[in-house]
Amino acid sequence: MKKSLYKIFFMISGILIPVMLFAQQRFPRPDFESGYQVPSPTTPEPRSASMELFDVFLLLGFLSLVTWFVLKKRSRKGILYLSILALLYFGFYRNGCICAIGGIQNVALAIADPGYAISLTALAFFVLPLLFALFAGRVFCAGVCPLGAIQELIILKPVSIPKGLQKALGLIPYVYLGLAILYAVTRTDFIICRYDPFVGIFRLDATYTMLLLGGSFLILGMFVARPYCRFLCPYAVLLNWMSANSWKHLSITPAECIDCKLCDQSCPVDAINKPAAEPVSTHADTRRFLLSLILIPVLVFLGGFILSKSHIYLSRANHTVQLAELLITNPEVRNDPENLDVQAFLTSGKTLDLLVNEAAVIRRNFKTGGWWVGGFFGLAFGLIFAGKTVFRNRKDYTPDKGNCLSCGRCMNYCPVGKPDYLNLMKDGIKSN
Amino acid sequence: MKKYGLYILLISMGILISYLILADFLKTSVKKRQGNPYAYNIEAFKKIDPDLVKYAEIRRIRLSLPDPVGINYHQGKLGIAYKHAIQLIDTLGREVFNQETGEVNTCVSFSPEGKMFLASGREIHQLDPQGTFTQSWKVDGEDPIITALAFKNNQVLAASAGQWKVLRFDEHGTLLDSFDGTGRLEGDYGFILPSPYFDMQIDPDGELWVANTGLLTLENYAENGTLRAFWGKPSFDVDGFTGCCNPVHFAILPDGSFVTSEKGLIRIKIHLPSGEFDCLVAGPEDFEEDSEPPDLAVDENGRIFVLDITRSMIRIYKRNNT
Repeated sequence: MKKSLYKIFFMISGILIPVMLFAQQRFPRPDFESGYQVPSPTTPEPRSASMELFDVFLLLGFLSLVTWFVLKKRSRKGILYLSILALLYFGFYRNGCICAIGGIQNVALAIADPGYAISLTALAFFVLPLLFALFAGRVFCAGVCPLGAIQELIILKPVSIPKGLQKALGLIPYVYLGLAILYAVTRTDFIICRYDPFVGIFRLDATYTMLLLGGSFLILGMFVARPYCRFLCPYAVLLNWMSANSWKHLSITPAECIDCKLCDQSCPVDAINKPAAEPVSTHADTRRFLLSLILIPVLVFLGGFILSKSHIYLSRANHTVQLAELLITNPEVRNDPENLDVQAFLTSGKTLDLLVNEAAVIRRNFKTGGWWVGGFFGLAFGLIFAGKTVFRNRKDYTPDKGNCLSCGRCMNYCPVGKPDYLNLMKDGIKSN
Repeated sequence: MKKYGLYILLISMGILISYLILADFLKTSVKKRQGNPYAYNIEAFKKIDPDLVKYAEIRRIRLSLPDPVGINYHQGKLGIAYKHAIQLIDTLGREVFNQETGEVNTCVSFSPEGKMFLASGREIHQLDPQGTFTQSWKVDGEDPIITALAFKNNQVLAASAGQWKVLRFDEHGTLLDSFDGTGRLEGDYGFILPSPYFDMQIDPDGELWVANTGLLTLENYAENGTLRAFWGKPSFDVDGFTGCCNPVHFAILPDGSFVTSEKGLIRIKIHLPSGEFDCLVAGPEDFEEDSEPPDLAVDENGRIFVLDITRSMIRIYKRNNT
């Protein structure tokens, strides 16, 4: 078992290392010897079509291998080693780009704007992890996502977060996803990429702010396992939906659960459902459930209304809107040679009327988008609330399919099927 | 108690993360963004170490015609190409002739026998000692911009900045062949010319040197157009070449040393025949702000004629210890 893992590890390393060696600079870099900080590009250098295809195949290979480790081999080590390789390749070598998480914005923009052509690679990186999640759960989070891998490696002493707080923080990714889509389709900003806390670490060129941000997440991640994945990652929302309805999924026990409770505290992300008997249903429960169902359309409307009413504030993040507002409210800024945005506008030959018209169109888009995104918030919150009113009968310890990151830790705790099964059981029974 | 400490740490981290994201988001508004954060201040490089300057300016010749573009020297005479004229003067500034031309001229040169040649974009002209055009020929192809002429084995070599090629003509203007600098051992880049500067000279041993400005190198080419040697390194320091594309002009002294002229941060420097930096002739402070890069010529005594295009004058430099 161990040997086969090492073989896979070295085989993949053997493939990846020569690929990394292809990189060479065409021209010598200008020599700045006076401490000048060369600005880092927001995206890495373009890649040849064949290498992009290679990345897609590699992603497919990684996803398949993790699926195999999760479902068939049940190997935590295998998943861990693969995630290290993914961190090295997709993180440090590919500079964290292209990534499935940021792909949300490309896909959203491609849907909203026919003039924007999404590359097949970006599309594949967005779709493949979702398809695998639909088949086998969040295997992408387990062993392929470099952002997940870097957090996975620093988990030191994970604490369990109170359920209520966990649920409240779990709403943030929905907000982030909605805003990311809104800002992408209005061509305002790709905020997922901009606030990726680890990309600066992968590229070894993080600004002070981003280093502080990445460092904060890593320090936080020592005690709250995978904070970005659980409480911020917008792609996790989509993966959660897919994984919750997945055809197959990681199981804690390979056979029947013996209820030994050994896995009880094994999950660092609190994604194990404990056995729970269904309480006797009362009229009050039914009323609560019906009320929550009625509340959903109200929340959808309310969310849409509030966000569309906030379109003026939301649109102020857009460069064109900002510039138009600035030129109207502070016309003297035209004489400020230091303001590059204003100077660039003035030298472009564009009239202020044209700029204001463009800003007005963007604002209208924010208003319409506000209805959709606000409605989405309302729907998400409503469904989560409705879910709380439904009780499920559980006999065994099972992974929470939506939130489980398929890291495989819990599998190691399960004594079922292991050679020293009986001793483990005794120990487990004693300790419990 | 321990748990409280941990919670405090976690809450602090949460607040810090929220603050960092919000602060960054708000600070990038157009109103707050002032100046170019990536502007590179090169003021420090404009000041040069006086110990490195081993040349002194000994004379200035004010030019009588407007818009000079190029200069060359042959046996006591200076040929000066202007935008719409050609002029021959002696080294004291006395005019031999001047002749108006129709097209926009780009460079002037002398063959070893003293025949004067003028290039104007896509045309090459030969003049007699009185300034009469004796023959002309057109350079075919897409966008030829002839920026330098050199002479070897009775052939006329023309550096075409528009085509990124060196064209070889016989003495009657028939195109023999051309080369683009590809076929080198490492990489296959050829000439890379981000700006329309493409100079070329023959050294005292009869070797052809070409300024591959995009690679910031001076390159020696064999008869068949293959690269034989090169030198040059990108650097803001005085021993290298700065910016996207330099040196824009160069000349070769009788001892084989190179005189180079850079644009952007204007510096006239001497490099030994090996390419090693020797000394400075003039630095950025000797020229006006945003000056055009000066063209160069040298005489048999090692004097350097610097065409200060912006001030419309020739500045003559001589090495201090000679």
